[in-house]
Amino acid sequence: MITNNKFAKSVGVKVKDNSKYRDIAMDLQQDDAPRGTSLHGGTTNHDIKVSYDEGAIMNSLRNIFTTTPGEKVLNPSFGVNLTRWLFEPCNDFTARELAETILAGIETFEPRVSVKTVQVIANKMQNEYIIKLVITIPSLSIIEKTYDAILNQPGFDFLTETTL
Amino acid sequence: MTDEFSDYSLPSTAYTTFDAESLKQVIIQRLRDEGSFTDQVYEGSNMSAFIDVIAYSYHILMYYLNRTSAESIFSESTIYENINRIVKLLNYSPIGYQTSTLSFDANSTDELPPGPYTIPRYTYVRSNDITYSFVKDASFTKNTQLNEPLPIVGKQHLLFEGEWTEHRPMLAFGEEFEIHQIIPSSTDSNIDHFNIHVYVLDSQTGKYYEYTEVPSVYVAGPEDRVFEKRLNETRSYEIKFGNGVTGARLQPGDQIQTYYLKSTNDKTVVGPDFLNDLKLAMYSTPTFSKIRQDTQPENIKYINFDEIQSVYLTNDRRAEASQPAETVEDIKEKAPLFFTSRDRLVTTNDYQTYMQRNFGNVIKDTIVVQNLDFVDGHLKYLSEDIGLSYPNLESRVMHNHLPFASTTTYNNIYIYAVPSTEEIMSTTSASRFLSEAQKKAMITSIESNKMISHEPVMMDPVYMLAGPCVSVPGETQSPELVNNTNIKVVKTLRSSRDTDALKQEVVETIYTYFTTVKLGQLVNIRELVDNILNIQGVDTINTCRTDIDMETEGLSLAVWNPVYQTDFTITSQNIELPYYKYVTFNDISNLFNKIEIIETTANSNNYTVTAQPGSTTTVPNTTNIDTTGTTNTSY
Repeated sequence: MITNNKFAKSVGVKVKDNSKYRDIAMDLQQDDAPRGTSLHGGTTNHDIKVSYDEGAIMNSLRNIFTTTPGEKVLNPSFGVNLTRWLFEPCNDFTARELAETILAGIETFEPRVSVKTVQVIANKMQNEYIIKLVITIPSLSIIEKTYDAILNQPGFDFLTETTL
Repeated sequence: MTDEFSDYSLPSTAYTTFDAESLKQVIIQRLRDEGSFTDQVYEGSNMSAFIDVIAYSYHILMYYLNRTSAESIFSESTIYENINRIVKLLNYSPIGYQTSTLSFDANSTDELPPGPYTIPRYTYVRSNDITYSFVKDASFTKNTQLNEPLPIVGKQHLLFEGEWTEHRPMLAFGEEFEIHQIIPSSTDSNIDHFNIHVYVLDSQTGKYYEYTEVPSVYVAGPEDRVFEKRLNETRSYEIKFGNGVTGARLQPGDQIQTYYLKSTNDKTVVGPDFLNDLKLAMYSTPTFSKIRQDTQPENIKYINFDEIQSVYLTNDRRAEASQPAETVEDIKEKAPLFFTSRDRLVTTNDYQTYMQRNFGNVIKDTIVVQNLDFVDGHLKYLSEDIGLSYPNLESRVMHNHLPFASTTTYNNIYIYAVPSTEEIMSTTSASRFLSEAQKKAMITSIESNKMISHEPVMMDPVYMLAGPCVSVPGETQSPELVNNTNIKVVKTLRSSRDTDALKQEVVETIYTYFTTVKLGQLVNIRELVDNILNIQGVDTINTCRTDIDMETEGLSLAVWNPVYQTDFTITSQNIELPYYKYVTFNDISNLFNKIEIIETTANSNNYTVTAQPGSTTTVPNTTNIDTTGTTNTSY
């Protein structure tokens, strides 16, 4: 949706009209689709890459899990510090605490999704936690989406995603 | 012109209310209107993180923009460089560091033949790397072949801490209002604000001329060899010359030679007898020798290296402490007053500001009054309160009037000043009074700015003493009562504070209060009592007699004139002193021994207190304070 505003017309980003959520992609990549030629011709301009719908929500989830409270300058309460659990003994008790932290984080900071289950398995041999997150996204009519993630020494990262 | 930006639905003054949060909301709203992105409203989105960073960055930038704007306003400025530039508009030149000064007496031995002599400027004495220097030529005449005191030297001159330093020569360009900057040889030393001398070697005649400092070159004539000095925003001194219309203009090739008094140690305050046994040494450099020769008045005979060995100095007073350069707060306070007075001494406030500004290193406090206030105040006090038949013949009044005042007193301006060396422990020391040389220097300085009809007279304050005191009705009131009165401090129940530490803190509280008093100040006994009661472990404070069984609640003080003891008042209420009185605490070095610390134990009606050595005393609780301000105690 582009408004009639003159300024918006001039610099607005071309986006998919049928998308519901749009966020800039994490690494500020150029979009694959060319925006048009520059004034003097020759080169082709690209917009910033945009994350749409589930991608935008995944950005948000990743930011929630990888941000330590205090890091976001205008909202110091934002984020859950998942990496702090790595300094606790790797056991089922910690895994439960971790699961509750993830659940609370999503409920607090991501109103677009509702969590069905959070499963955290402590891999004591590798000192890591395998996380399985099952959510629904009502606004996108996604009944169940499963994310597999890992929390280990390098930090938190999503592994795979499965959509029903 | 529309009130809104063309593309934004914001009033043009909206920026005045921007902070990080509001900026963030503006950006979110803007993105929402624009419609490309949607996730700016979710705190977890990448967009939100970017917005936070941008809003916060602008917030910081706007903060500094505000600070910068505020710094250009006189009342808001907090940085020295800025306030220095701002007050330049008012033609206010901030005062820099003022070095320590020393009053002295000069004597000559029988080896010096009779005759007129002049000790050249910059002559100095040095001991243990501490140097005190003359800042101008000091002339005297020796009349006999004998050892002879030279009072005129001591009365008219002061020694200034520091040594004279020759600045590297600077070449003139011949520009209008040419400005040169003095860059000291080392950055860790201080230049005395009032001792920068300028000489110019005329490229035509090959002769040095002395240039005189003036407040502004704009009031000088076209041929006047004058300069204007200013401590600039980088804390360097700028020397400004005239343009040939107001103040003589430098010619291309003229050589500017400046000398400044460089203080070696800003904490140097030498004591009495520092000068004894020290030899005077004459300042000498090839350039200065030429300058001295070129600028020597015809009727002056400079003393030579051999003759100066027959002149020696003594000092029975310690030096006055140095004064740091004006701070931002000082400048803000004094610049408007200076601007109001337009560098002229007309009102008593003008005099007061001038004294504090120019003699901050010599005086601790000053009050200036006109003749009517003097007659109604100080003179009336001497004649009516003290009962002197001829108050003008009172020694301190005589001492002050004779050297300075004319026969009539209508236009007298009385400047009361407390020297900065005033010692709280001494009651009769000479250090409580400004020396004649100091008074002379002040009067001389005032002369050029005062109204022509004014006759300034330096006055010594009436020094009053205060001490704990309580008396029974009918008792003769004298300072003897103070010797027999102690301060009793009752400790709070179960306080574990050490007795000596508590005593010491009480002493320090009283000492601090009396070191900050000013001329004509309200002696606020209630505030002092509150300060003592605020000490941890102090429950109550009483004043008690040691020779009889008598005690009163709170602090009862006697305030008296140690010279004329008929002026003796006992009170536990606040006392407002007149402008000519300055109070110090009596025998403060012994105050520690006059404080008793009492341990408390709970009792039903009265509280029983146990004195330190083990004796038991019951504190009467029947003290009444009547409305007249005196304290009565029932027994």
